[in-house]
Amino acid sequence: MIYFFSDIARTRLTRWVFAWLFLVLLYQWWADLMISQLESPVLLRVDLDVTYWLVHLTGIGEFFKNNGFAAFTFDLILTLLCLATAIFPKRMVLPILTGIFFLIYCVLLNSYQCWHYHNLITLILLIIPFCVRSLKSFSILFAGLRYAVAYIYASAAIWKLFRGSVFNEGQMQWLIEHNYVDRMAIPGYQPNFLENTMLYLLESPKLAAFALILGVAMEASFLVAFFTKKFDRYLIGIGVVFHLITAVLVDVSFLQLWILFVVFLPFERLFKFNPESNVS
Amino acid sequence: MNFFLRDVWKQSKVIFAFFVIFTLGTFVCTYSKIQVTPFFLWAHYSDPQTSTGQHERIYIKVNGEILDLPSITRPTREVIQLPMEYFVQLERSNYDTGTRQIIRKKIATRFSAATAQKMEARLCNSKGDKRAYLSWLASYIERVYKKKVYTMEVGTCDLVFVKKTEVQRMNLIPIAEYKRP
Repeated sequence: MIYFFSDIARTRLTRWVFAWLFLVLLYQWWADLMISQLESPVLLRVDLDVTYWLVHLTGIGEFFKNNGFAAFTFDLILTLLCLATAIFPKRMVLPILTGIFFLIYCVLLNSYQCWHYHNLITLILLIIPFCVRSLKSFSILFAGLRYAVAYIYASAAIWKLFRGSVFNEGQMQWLIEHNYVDRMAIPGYQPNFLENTMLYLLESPKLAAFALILGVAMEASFLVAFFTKKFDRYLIGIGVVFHLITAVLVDVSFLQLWILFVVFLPFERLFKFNPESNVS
Repeated sequence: MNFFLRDVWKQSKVIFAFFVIFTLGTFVCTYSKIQVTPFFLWAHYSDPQTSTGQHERIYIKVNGEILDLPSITRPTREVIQLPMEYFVQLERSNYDTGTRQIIRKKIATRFSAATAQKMEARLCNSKGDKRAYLSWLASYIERVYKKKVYTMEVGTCDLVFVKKTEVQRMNLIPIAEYKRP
């Protein structure tokens, strides 16, 4: 069943999403990760991603590298666009411009970091529904986004199953070593309680294997979203717990993406939908 | 999912087409294992690995001392570390990346050589960028660590677990050097 959003509900949702994006960008400023803060990087990595090719072929990256003021202006406009969309959620041009600027920003950042991170660019999927005017189209696109988010986690589990890493002996030990080796190389480094817990798994192969299977099962649980909405609220909990674990294990919380869990919220209760507006 | 698409079909043929294209794009990219935004692949840590207690890493020596990368915040560290790892790859492959190969195989044969050259210049790094990259790295490190970089050596090493919580740095292989002009 697809629910139609009311105008008020859409407005609220727009405010939530773009306020979150604004906070994410404030973090990026704090972390010196805006394009103007990268100090004209030299290396770029586009791999075979044609979208990255297209962005760089426009020459925009080169332009920002050679013009610090233009890069700063771009960063500032992007940040203010998110804020403006949260303040004026009914101005259709704002989310569209935010989407374009955000895509360019993520492509440039990932290219110059030489690693195609998913932690920001995935949010482009979230922006798409807000770029259409009609409530009907918005509602359908937002309902589709729920499946896209479920696919993210479910496919992560399927990849691990098909490639065999989930039942691979020593996989979890490798994962812990791989992510802890740098900090352990610091002379005199003292692991904290959570780090010690992870390191304990190095000496307990069975427990480590079980922990890995449990993690993959948490990802695989999102498959249920393709068949029913009954468990959506639990999926939010599972997703958050999963990311808290990855934050300790691989030092990546994907916090920026947590807003995607909004697709699993029971909107019909949250915004008290008019039942007549529901379509199936 | 089938029911969802059926409902979408009833409501909007355009959005239905959008969903079908998106789904097909995702399947094609997954099958070919090539990521094209927005058809993302979520295959992190899915390669089977064997635990050996030994991990290859990059190192940076500034003024003769190994730079303590884990001491800075993760985002800042990655602006140093990830391009550095890519730089090592470029040096090892003689700057012959997959992107360059595709441009030469697909673009140069279908379009003019001049077009392919322009694309290479925009999308690929070359040996000529080595000096500029090291200079950028040195100035970035100066800003982050708040110290002058007079000499810098970058390369690869092995980090080896000798005990559960003790790791030693071994087999340092220098890749490039930089001296402040």
